[in-house]
Amino acid sequence: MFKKETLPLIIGIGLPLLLIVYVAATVYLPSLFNKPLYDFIYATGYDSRYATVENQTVKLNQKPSYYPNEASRSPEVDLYYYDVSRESSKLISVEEARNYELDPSEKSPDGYTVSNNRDRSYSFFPLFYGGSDRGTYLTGHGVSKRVSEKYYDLKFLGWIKK
Amino acid sequence: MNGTDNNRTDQILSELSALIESGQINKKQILDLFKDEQPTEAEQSKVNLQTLFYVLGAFIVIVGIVVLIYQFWADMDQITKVLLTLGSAISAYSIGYYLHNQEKTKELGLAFLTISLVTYPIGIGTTLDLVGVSAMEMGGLTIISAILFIIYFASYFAFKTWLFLPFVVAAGSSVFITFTNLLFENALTPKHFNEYRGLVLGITYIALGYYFSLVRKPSMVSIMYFLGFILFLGASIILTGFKPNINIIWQFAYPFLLVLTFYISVLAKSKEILIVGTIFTFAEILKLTSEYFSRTLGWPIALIIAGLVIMGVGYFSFEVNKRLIKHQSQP
Repeated sequence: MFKKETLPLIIGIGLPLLLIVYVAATVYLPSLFNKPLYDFIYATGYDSRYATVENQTVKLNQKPSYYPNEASRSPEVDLYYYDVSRESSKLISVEEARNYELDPSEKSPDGYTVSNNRDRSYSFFPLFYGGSDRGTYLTGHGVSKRVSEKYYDLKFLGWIKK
Repeated sequence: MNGTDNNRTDQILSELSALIESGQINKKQILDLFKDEQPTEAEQSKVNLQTLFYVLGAFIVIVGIVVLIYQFWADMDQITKVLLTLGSAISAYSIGYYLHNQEKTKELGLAFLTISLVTYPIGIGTTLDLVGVSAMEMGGLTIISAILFIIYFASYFAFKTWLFLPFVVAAGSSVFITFTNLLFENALTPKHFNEYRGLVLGITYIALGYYFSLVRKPSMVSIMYFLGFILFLGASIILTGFKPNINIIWQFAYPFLLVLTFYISVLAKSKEILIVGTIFTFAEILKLTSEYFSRTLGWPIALIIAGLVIMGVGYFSFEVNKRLIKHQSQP
């Protein structure tokens, strides 16, 4: 027979389990059915804003001089190639980056975007500090994947054209 | 015993087994009937003083171990670290196990078990570090929490003492939190996820508190209700949002949740729930005052009104405790 004390125990243990199932479903189910198809290139570093896309290729613009007699300087930028199938970034040279034809649109042809998340994970007790959500993410169709932990000085340049 | 006495005994025993089968009476209630008379006041105070010394001693030993580890941590290699931390935990556990099994040293055994329960997390963390699982990352934390949960849960069944229960709950909560963090490690956390997780954990604690009240574990009831309502009301007040990002549904529901809290405090005859409910009512009054009245009435008048309302709530809470909780709790 169902004992009186069984119900609170079921609620007590069942609710957290339900939340875990819900979380697993929201995180993993969409990524089973939706796979991003387009790799992309992004720039990081303090000077990343000087990296642009012109004529569908990467271009590093010179930094303007601060003083009248100072010559313009080359920006210090790291370029990365993000492989969507491996979900990982690889450091590439400017020359390598120039081998790719880029589409600088905000949204990829299959409907994904790359954006920075500056919001810190909100918590009201030390117990609930869930690590930081800050970073750059590839999002779309219910999928979100962390591209980099950097949420500043990271500039998306373009999708690799197929 | 004559024949009539035997018949009566048989009848009582058969009624008793019917009650046991239907779950209306448990083993502990029956065993309580065989217990010796209650200790005298002098014996009671001796036992309490003894327990106090054991608790104090255990606390000093824990502080000593932590300071020792801290002082020499940088100079130790990984194997020594494991021997010191996990070794202390296992030694304390073994001594505790031995002493707890002796009738005369039961309490002392509990003190040693407490030392082991507190040192196990450091010991397991250091051991995992040795095998290449970082205790500072979510995966490592989840594994540590799960191992601790298994140790504490098994110990609770082995020793049948309530001392393990807070540790079981803490390790279980830690598994829940670290595992859900792990699931979101490389994905964006949905908005307000932490608050809803707090809400779920709060309801879990409240349900467990009710469960412990049914199975007569009074020491756990107060802790679970206290923490449960803090989490429940804390998460709810954050979900109401702060101006200009108010969530109308939660803002509307929150006062009802406070009323429900006061109602449950009376039903459960719990002073802890009443205190938490009162504190969160104060918080809501101050929140509403700052959001809605500080600009229209000005801070000084808004504060005077808030203060008066808080005094009123305080008086109401005091009266509820005096008339409904204290009064009903008295035998």
